[in-house]
Amino acid sequence: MPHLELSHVAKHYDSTTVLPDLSLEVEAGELMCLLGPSGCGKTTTLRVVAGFEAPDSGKIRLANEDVTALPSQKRDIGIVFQSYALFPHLTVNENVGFGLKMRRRSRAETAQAVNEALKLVQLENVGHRLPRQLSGGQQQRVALARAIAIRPRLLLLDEPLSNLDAKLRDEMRTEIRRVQRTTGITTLFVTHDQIEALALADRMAIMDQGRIVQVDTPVNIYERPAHPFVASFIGQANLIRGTVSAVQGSLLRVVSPSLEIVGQGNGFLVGAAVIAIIKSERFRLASEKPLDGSHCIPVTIESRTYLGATMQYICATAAEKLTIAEPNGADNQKFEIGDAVFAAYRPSDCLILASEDKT
Amino acid sequence: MSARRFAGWCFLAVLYLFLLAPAVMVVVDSFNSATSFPGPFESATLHWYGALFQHDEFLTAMRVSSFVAAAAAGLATCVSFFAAYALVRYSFRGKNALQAFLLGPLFVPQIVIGLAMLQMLSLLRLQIALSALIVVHTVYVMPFTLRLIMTALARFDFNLEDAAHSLGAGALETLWHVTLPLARTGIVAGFVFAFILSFVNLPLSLFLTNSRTATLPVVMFSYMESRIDPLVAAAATLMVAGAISFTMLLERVFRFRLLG
Repeated sequence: MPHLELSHVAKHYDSTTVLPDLSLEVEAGELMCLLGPSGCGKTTTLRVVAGFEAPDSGKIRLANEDVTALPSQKRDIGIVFQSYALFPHLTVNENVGFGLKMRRRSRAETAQAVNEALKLVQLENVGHRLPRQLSGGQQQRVALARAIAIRPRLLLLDEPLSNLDAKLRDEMRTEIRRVQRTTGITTLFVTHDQIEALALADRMAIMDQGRIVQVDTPVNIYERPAHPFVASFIGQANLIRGTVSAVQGSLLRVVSPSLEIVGQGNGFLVGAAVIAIIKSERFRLASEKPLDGSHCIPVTIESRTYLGATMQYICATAAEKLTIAEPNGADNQKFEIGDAVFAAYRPSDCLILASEDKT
Repeated sequence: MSARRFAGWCFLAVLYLFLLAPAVMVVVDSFNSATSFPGPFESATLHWYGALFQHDEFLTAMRVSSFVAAAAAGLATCVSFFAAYALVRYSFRGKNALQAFLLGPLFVPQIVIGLAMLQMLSLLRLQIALSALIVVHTVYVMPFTLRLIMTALARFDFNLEDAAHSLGAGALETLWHVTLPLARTGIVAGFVFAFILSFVNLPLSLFLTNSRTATLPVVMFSYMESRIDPLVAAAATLMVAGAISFTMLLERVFRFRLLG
């Protein structure tokens, strides 16, 4: 029995359909990331779960209880807002204790819960300060402490790291993961940042246009996307459209207008329209054909961009363009614009999916 | 200090002198033992203040004015808070029309509002009563309270209300613990302005008072029609002193700045 279950949730605003039909299950103690491009409906989903918006249809169950009609204040859900939404006129202690005060807990019990929560987020000795006297990272910790102090049945995080600078973001990411593991609170984390999602999630749900496209572990989402949208959204992938020309077990040969590709896929017959997916970092560029069984595509270097850790090449074939990321190292060969080289990859790194022309 | 700056300060000084000198004259005259007003200063006395507190008509008028001002300011502040909340928080059909309607009294001469209310009362065959006076004063001060509270709410982050709900606060608890404290400056400032505007108002009250419900400005006005002595100067000085100390008290209690 999942701890949080959304079944067939739909939400419209005036004439705009934000969520046509959304179902999602989150297991107890799990950290689920809801990942999607902006405007895909993930924030609406979060607001519906939080109880700030009522769905037009569908059901939300939390810990075996139908909470669809329950107002937000009775759902016992802790929320960390993107803007933190700390009460500016209350001290850190009063902010963290707010939920317990509303629950009419005794002063002693509140004080103890506040101390425990602040200790958990490693923020002590600032209890009497006001939020504006704290740094961004500290405010983030207070927001997290306030959300967990009520011992919620569910923790919702709405893009909590997007207002922090890069270094602090990494630190807080680790911090959120540690607090979630320690408390075991089932968590739904909404983000548009795939690195964040890959690093944090037990499982991630990829959203597009109000629908959940795939739910799986980070490794499977990255390595085994089930849908061309997931493949193109996660990491940097080359999507090559073509037709199956030969099948040998799970190995397929795909021909596109200018290329011949060998990859892995199941259940295709010769003649099927497919999309071949190869992540940019799974290619190796070489001036001569490697002899290790890699498949090779002859290409011409069209442009290159230095990205620090990698060099990104745009390579042209007769009709397609491939994006290839090569690690930068002292010994790695650099190719010049105009060089005719081979883009090599292992067939197991090429995933073949059915072409979905209807999307 | 540059010459330009100096000229600017001089200009301001002259301007304020021009604006405030008459008021200073009134305050000075209230301590004048001469029996004409305004008149040459003879000797200092507190006679007129003593006379004021013996004068039943003035004392009743002060009570009436305080009551009307408190009621009108309180009513206007309450109604304005909810109107401002709706206007700032939500978008809805007719929002601009509603805002224009609520700010409308600002653009109608007060004489006209007073007269219109009088006509409506006679049309409905109602007596002139304190309640009618309070209603008219409320309508008149609403634009000021509404604007001040809207300005305060425009800076309010409505996510804070969501946060409060998620932490278990109901609608009233959220209003009490989050929204009202954070809109406090605008609410108190609105109340103070409304109170003072109502307290000193003459044109509205002229039409809608009788001998028992005459407000202080009305009594002062009719007093000056028959007699001219520094008694009205004493009353005016008390009004100014009252307004300033009232504002200062609220500033102290609510810890914010209204006066400079």
